[in-house]
Amino acid sequence: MAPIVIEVGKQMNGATFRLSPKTEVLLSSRIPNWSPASSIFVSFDTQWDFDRLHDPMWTQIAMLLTGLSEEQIQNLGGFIFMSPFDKEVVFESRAA
Amino acid sequence: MSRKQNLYVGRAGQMAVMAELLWRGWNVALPEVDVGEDVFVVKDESGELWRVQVKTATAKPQQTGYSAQFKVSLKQLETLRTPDLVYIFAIRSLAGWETFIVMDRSTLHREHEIHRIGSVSQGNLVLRVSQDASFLRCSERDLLPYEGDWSRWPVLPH
Repeated sequence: MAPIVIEVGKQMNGATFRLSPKTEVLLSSRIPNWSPASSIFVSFDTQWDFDRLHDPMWTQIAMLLTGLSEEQIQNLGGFIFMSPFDKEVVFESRAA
Repeated sequence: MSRKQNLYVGRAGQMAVMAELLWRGWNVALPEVDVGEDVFVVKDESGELWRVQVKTATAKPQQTGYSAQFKVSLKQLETLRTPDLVYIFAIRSLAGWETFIVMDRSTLHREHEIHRIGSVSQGNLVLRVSQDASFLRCSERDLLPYEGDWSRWPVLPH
């Protein structure tokens, strides 16, 4: 099953996260009355990089954006965090 | 159209958008160096900020209505930032401003990814908008919901 794709945009003081358009369409077709957050911004007071996001934080961001539990997300195939322009994968957790 | 003429038309669109926002009671600012955004819109009391990119085209008359063509950088379209970008597509004819199409970056990105709006050429998304009495569309997608949609910036009393 195709994993949930979360687009990321890094900027100096943090990063913006948003479900990819295709994932939005997929989830809205599967989950009645699905109403996700449109985006999440994780802010840091100092210059930072993705290395400073620890594993549980990626999962929590995926849960916040989808409104799904960790188990539901894994049942859908897991998730990928990806930069939409160059398609660089910055983190992934695929279902076994 | 010459490059010089493009600069004049682009600047006219930017000014027209700024005039509309000021009339609505929203403060606007121009970046000193143009590196992506054309206009910052600021709510004075709260400091809320919008980043606006204005694209301007001259309407080409058709048998009925007109068409207009815009180019949007794919890199800009696919780059997430907070606050996110809002595109305003301004169309001008000899008679005056025909319309302003106001669309979030994420909405245009979705229209491109899911509904294949526009065509890709040399790192840009090319949007050919056509208008008639009953429609405003691009690649068969209805743009009427975005026409003159200034709802992000309702008229503020001062």
